[in-house]
Formats: sequence, C-alpha cells, structure tokens
Amino acid sequence: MDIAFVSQIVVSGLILAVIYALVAVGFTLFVGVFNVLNFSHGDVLMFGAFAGFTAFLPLAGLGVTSPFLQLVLVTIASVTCTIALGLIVARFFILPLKGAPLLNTLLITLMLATVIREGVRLFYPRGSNPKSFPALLPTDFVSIGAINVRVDTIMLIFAGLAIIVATGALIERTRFGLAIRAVAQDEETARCMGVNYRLVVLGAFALGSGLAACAAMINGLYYNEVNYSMGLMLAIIGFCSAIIGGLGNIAGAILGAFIFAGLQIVGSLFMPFSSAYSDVFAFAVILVLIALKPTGLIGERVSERV
Amino acid sequence: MSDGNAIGRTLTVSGVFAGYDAADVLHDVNLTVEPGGVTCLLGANGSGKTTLIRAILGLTRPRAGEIRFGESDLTTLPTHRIVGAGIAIIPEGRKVFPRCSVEENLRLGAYEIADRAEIRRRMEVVYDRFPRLRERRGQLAGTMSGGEQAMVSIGRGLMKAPELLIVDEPSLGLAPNLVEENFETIAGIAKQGVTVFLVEQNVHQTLAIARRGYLLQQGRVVESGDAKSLAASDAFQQAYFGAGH
Repeated sequence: MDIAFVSQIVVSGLILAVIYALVAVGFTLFVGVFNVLNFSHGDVLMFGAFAGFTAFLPLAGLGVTSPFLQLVLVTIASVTCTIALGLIVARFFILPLKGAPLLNTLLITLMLATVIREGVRLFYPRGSNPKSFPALLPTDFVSIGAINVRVDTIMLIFAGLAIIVATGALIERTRFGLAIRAVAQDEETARCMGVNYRLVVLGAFALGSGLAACAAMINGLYYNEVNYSMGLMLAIIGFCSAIIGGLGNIAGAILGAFIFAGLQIVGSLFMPFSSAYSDVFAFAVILVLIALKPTGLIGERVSERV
Repeated sequence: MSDGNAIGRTLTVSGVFAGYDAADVLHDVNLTVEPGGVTCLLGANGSGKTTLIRAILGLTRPRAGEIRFGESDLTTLPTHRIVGAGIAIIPEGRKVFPRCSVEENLRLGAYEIADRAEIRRRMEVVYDRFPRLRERRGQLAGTMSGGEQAMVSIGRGLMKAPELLIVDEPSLGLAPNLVEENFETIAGIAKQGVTVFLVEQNVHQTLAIARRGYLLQQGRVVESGDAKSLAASDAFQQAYFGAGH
C-alpha cells in the first residue's frame, strides 16, 4: 500500500468520524435529558440536508454568486430548519410523553422518522432521486510531501472538530451546559435547584438538532450528494457510537464515533474486496465490543453513595 | 410565635390532598411555617412527610387544597418558580450531583442567579461555614464521603440565600457523630435568620432545636403546637412510645 492511498483513506475516515460524532452527541444528549432514544434524529438530519440544498437552488438567480456567501446562507437555512424541526419534535412528540413507558417514546420517534423520511421522498420534487449538493468550498489540492489532499476536505475536518470542541465547552463551561448535566444526573433535584426542566429539554433538542445540521452540511459538502434515505444509516451509526461510548456521556459518544470510523478504515484497508465489507467489519466489531463492555467504554466512574 | 425580629413570609398549607395514582397519601393537611426559627414535621415512615414536601415543591401536584408562601400561590407553579420564590430544599438522601464538582453543585444551588460576583460572594459564605468544601472545590461530589456530601447538600441549599429552608431527613444514613454535627449546623442556620422547616424521624434532637412542630400520622396532622407541648401530647406519646402508659 502506498502512502498516498493510505492517507486518502485516513482523511476520509476523519471526515466520517467528525460526522458520526456530531450525530452521536445528539443521541447522547437526548438520552441524558429525557432518557429517550430518539430515532427520528437521523431523518431530522436528512431534512436539514434537504433544507440546505433547497436554499441553494434560488441563490444564483437572486444574484448571490459568491461561494462563501452561498455557503453561509445554505448553512443558516439548514441549521435553522433543523433546529425548528427538532424543537417541534421535542415540544409536541417527546415532552408530552413524560412519564410514559419507554417503549412508547421509542415507537413515536421511529414513526416520526418514517413520516419525515417518506414525507421528503413523496412530497419533495423527485424526492426519491439523489440530489447533487453543491461544492461550495475550494476544491483544489494541496500537497504535503507525497500526499495530496483537497482543501475543502481539510476545512471540513477542522470545522467539524471545532464544532465538537465548542459543544464540549458549552456543556462543560456554561450555565446551560451545567443545567443539561444536572438534569441528566437527577432531573428532580435539578428542578429543585431552579432549573426550568422543559426549557432544558427544548434547549438540548435544539442543540442536538443543530449539530445534526452541521453533520448534514459536512456530509453534503464532502460527498456532493444528498438523498432521502441518508439519515437512516447515519442514525444507526451515530446511535452505535453513543452506545459504545456509554450512553449519556458526551466524551464517550465522540470516542465511539472515532472508533467506528476507525473500524471502517481498518475494514477497507485490510479486508479483501476493498471497501465493500468495511461496514460489515465495523458493525461486527461493535457487536463484540458491546458484548464485552455492555455499559460502554467509558463506564460510570462515580458510584452513588448512600 | 414570632421571634420579635423575624420578618418574612409564612408558608401556609391548607386543606391539601395529594398522592400517587389512585390513592391519596395526604388527607386535608393544614399547617403553617411561620417566619423565624425551626418548625418541624414529625411522623413515622409512610406517614406522608415526603409527599407533603413534594407537594410544597410542586413535584407532586395536590389534588385539592392550596399552598401559599406569603402572598404568592405556589399550588400550581412549576418547581423552578417555587424555589425561585425564596425557598430552598436540602433533599432527603442529600442528592448531590455525583458527576459535578463541589463548586458546580454549589453553582446549581444558585442556578437562577446570573451575577457572577454575587455567586462568588455566596460561595465564600458557604466555604467559610464548611472549610472542607473549599479544599475540595474541584472534586466530583460523587467521590466524597457521606458527611462531606451532606456539607455539599447543605451548602447548595444555602447558595439560594433562602428565606425558607426545607430540610428533609438530614440524619438519614449518617453516622451518629455526623448526625449531631448536622443538627448543630441546622440550628446555626436558623439562628442566622433563615426559617427552617425540618422533616425528621429523629425526634429528640429535632424537638431540641425546633420551636414548633406538627405530627403527621397516616397523612393527617394529628397534633401541633410548640415543641414542649407537642412532646407531651397523647398522640405524640402514642406514636413514639406506644399506647398504654
């Protein structure tokens, strides 16, 4: 294997890791504040990708031709629509199910996922066809030694990492983050401290959905394609990442995402028949990991004292 | 009943029925916590003490009746608004946030306060009361001993600078020497002008620091009065020492 080929795969693995991490953090946030496995998350992401794509279409006609300005507007549209949809999901389908059996909330998020996915497929013009997402970042190559990498790829990786770091800081350093962590540990006591529970749940859904929009943008800009079923696989992988990291744990979700992407790389490098089996390999290893470490890789380090 | 210098609002519980699912736990509970000193709520396990606290805090909605704090009606307010009205709770079992540091736990106590200087000032007051917490400000509360967690929980309650402090079963699960210390702390807080509503099973130590109290039995207030007359009442003697003497 030559170095150029390996570096190519490592770079695409990093892109995947960043996308997965952004999705996984959402899953883990929702479990933290509401103890809900929100399977509509992937399709909220897909909705964000379509919102960004739709916002792009009229821009050239409106005289907005600068790729940078286009990127800013497309991102704003995607993030705004995704947050709005996430808030609708939280306010009308999740919060009313407070106290309901877990299976009911699970079922509702699965049905929501189907409604959003099929809604886009049926009602978006030619919704079942893949759409070509515009390349709004510079696509020229830079050479580092023998390695050639596209500029937009590097920008996307760094943008994704920056968003992940900023999210970590938000959770660890701000009052809102403290409220999310408090609710995740003990909802009733958090309320007794003066935390507005409903607001924190809505805020966490807004944050998680906004991160999904970022994942959708990175995904669209990297692969230059969006389609109505893209959310499904991303949701499964994001969910897996959150589980192997230990559900409810932000750092664990990020670690899980990098592990999953790493496994896919290893799979495509060393498995026969190239990359076709990388997902099979990655999921198989995840199965083993979960069997060995059922509570996740970052377990509870703190035991509750009586 | 008033302390002479005690100013503040009275917590009034009137005609409260509350419970879970189909069954009422509280039946027509009436009581008042007047400003100043310690008012206690005594009663055996299962007498409804916890349900009453939950009703006051809005965690379990009363089916009937009214809960007021001074002029404000708490009955239908969400919990975060109730504690925003000047009431703080030191919950049963301490309930520190185990994966938050001591400092973050204290910060959560004054959650509704945005002014950093004010938070800092209140934290210093708590640290002066519990120097051990200052030493351990960065430690995760879940890794601390039971006694230290009790300090975190009390300190967190004081961070609200409350007018009324509700203390729920503070001695539950603590070693005897720590129980003693805990009661001294609570009495000290009351002396500084915070009204304390103390819920306890530990009768003697409670009556020693309380001025006034209520005895709850099977969800009903069966006796009330100042601490001395409460201890001497038939209902109290029966509840704690059995009938027939």
